[in-house]
Amino acid sequence: MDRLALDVRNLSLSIQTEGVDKSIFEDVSFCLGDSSLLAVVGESGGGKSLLCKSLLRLIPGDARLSGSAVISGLQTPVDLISCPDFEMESVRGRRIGMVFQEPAASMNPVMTCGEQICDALPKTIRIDRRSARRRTTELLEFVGFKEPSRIARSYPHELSGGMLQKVATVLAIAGEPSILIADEPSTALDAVNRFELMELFQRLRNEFGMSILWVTHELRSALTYADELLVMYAGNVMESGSAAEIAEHPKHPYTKALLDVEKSFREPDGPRPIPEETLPVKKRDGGCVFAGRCEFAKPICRNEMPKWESDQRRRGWRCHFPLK
Amino acid sequence: MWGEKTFRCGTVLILTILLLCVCLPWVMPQDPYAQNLEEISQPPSLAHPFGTDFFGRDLFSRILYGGRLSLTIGIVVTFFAVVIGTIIGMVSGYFGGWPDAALMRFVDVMLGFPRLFILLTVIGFTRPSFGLMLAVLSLFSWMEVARIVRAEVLTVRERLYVKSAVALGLSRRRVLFRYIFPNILSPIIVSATLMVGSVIVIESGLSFIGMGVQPPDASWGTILNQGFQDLAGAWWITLFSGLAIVVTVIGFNLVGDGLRNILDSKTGVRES
Amino acid sequence: MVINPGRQILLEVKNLTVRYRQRNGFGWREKTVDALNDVSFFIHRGETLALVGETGSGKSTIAMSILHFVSPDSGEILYSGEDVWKFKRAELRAYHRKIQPVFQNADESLNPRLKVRSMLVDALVPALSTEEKNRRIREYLSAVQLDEDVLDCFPHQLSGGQKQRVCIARALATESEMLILDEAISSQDLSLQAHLLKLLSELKKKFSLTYLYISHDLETVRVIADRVGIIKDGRLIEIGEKDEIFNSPEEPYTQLLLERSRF
Repeated sequence: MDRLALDVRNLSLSIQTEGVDKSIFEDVSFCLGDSSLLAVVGESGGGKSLLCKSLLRLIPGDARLSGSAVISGLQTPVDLISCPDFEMESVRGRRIGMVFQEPAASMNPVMTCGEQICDALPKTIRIDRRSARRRTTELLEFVGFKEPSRIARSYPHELSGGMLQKVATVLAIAGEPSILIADEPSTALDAVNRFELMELFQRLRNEFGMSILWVTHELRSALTYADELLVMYAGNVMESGSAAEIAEHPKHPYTKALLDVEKSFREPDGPRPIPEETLPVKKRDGGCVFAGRCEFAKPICRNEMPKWESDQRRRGWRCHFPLK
Repeated sequence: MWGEKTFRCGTVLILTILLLCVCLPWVMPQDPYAQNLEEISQPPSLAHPFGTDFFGRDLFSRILYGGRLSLTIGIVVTFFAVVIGTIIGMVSGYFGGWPDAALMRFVDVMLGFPRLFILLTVIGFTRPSFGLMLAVLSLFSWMEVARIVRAEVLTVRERLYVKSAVALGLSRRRVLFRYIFPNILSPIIVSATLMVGSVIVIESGLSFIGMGVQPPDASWGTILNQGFQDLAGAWWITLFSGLAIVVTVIGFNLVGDGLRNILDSKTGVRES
Repeated sequence: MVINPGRQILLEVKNLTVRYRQRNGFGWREKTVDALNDVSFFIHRGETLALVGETGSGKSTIAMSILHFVSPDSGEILYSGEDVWKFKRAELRAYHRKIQPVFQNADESLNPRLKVRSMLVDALVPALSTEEKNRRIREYLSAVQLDEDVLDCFPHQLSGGQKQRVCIARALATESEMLILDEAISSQDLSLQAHLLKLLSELKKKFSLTYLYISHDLETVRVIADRVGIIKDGRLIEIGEKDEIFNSPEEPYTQLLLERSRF
């Protein structure tokens, strides 16, 4: 990894509910390399989705965000956390695009897909109707539609889930951003569409040089497609490193547990879940957030939060007893 | 709930006005009907904080007495309008089909009549009275509520929790009152509080042109009317009765807006 | 289609066709779209039939039609041999109690203004005594592995997994015979999916249930189903025993689905 697209340091988010500060995620740091794919993996409720939204500052007003997230690339660097609102507007869609889990919910139902894509194009192209149309057709063709003009004329409800997610991806990349944030884009898709979407992401990297931050709860597909991984649990980064290394030697018991669950789906006795939380979430003061479900947990795990450790090869973990 | 600033301001305002109107007539020394020909059209002073009117009656007392009528009209009319509107809206939205079509056309017809002119006509043919005004205002104010309620029912009816309730084999009444009604309550409450203000304005308007509350009874509208007869000479009459109306309407609107904020954020119903 | 003579057919869908009328933005042009086209299948009592298809393929419309929420343009839905769409209101209410949905979005399926206890009470037979009701509520809660603390919670105070369990408990509380699981576990993460799959197969034995399991995800289908049907563009293109479908699929789409599957 030579150049960085996005450098996130010590990002924390807490939201006030009923007068109490509730931490959503804490001290998240990672680097997204130029034209690389970073997967954020973890179970729902782990703060992954809000991490994405925080980067675009699409979070409730009473949320408290701290740390820094600097996008660099070819243009001037901007800190997404501290820059003024007007600057953020020029970042959204232009420098960072976003794809959501439910494409149908993120599109305007009374406009055709083509109209919506045209709206998302950069001003220089949008100014001329013909060039805007041509660009729309090109983009739709690029994501794999054989009849781009028919798709452009369709309304969102006329398309199937897989097609919609591709249109949503076009919407996200229409403003020619260099970074794409995808929040569980493939969760609601069937195997064929999921595969096609991931292939599309690969092409976005290779042909457009886009850097992609991809949130998913499927560790296995993250290991297949991503260069780097960030494993999160309950708002804490548990482990990070290159996909190849994590696939071979997971350091954190949580990563291993996730891998085991996925494997167990094909076993004759049926799937084996990770044991459920034994301690109520509120009571875990100080200890490792995963201790209540960890099969290797020792007393120290329940009392002391393990420190973040890392080695030279950009591999990091947060565990008292990392697996060998 | 109390933490919501708009709601708090509105409630304090309304409670103060209500308290003054309800209690003060017993505490205040001056009789609002007592004419004192020696103190005609006095500007505000210590003895008469709002001044006196053309018959030498204490304006402060009169405005408080008038407030009783104005507020009663506002609240009673709103109550009836909301009850009628909610029932019609719920039936229309939930059952759909021909009852819906019939009721909604009826609403259109009712909305087609300009409310103020109907009021004027009806009152013009009969003797203006308090009860008549209540009845006519109630009968011509529920349409907005019916439409809001119907629209809300149509949305909530499609929610999966309502479908699940239907699938539990619950009776239609139970689905309507336990699964739909509580979930449309907040827009109803909000529109009700906003309505109180608008009814008070209409009542004032009617009384102002002499079609509402009849002298010597006072409502804010009649007092305002009086003030207009000599605006230059006795400005305080117009000023204070007008202020009473404005402050009350603002108060109810604040409560309405505050309630909307509170109800929408509570239970996470509309949390994105 | 060979009907196994030893087993009773609980639900049969015959030539089901559902059309939606669509309008463009201003409602000028109207066209009809086939959401379902001549779909026929049956479910034996005690069996799990999985219907697999992508979002928008019409598989949820099947569920909605069976649940009497979307009326078919042609075709029949027979429950124990009786046409569901000819039921009178009382019969329909009785039918609804026998066939219970669990939807994907547990958030949406629970009334935000009711506590869990009231929701479960609503699902029980109204004639029961209060003690009996409380006993049953406890029974169903423990069946779905929930603590009794949740009874006094509103839905927004529960986690996603807890909410889905409440939905399942509610579906059981009507003494239902069949659950329609419409993507009931697909949006959960894998560990929770594993938990729920295990729970579902336990419940099926315990309460002798029949499942119609609707999903886009073949991996969970592999775990839970007895027979599998593949839906594409509103048509049922292939249906058969699980092993047949997984080992020797005939349709190219099914083959592609299997090939691209998660693992």
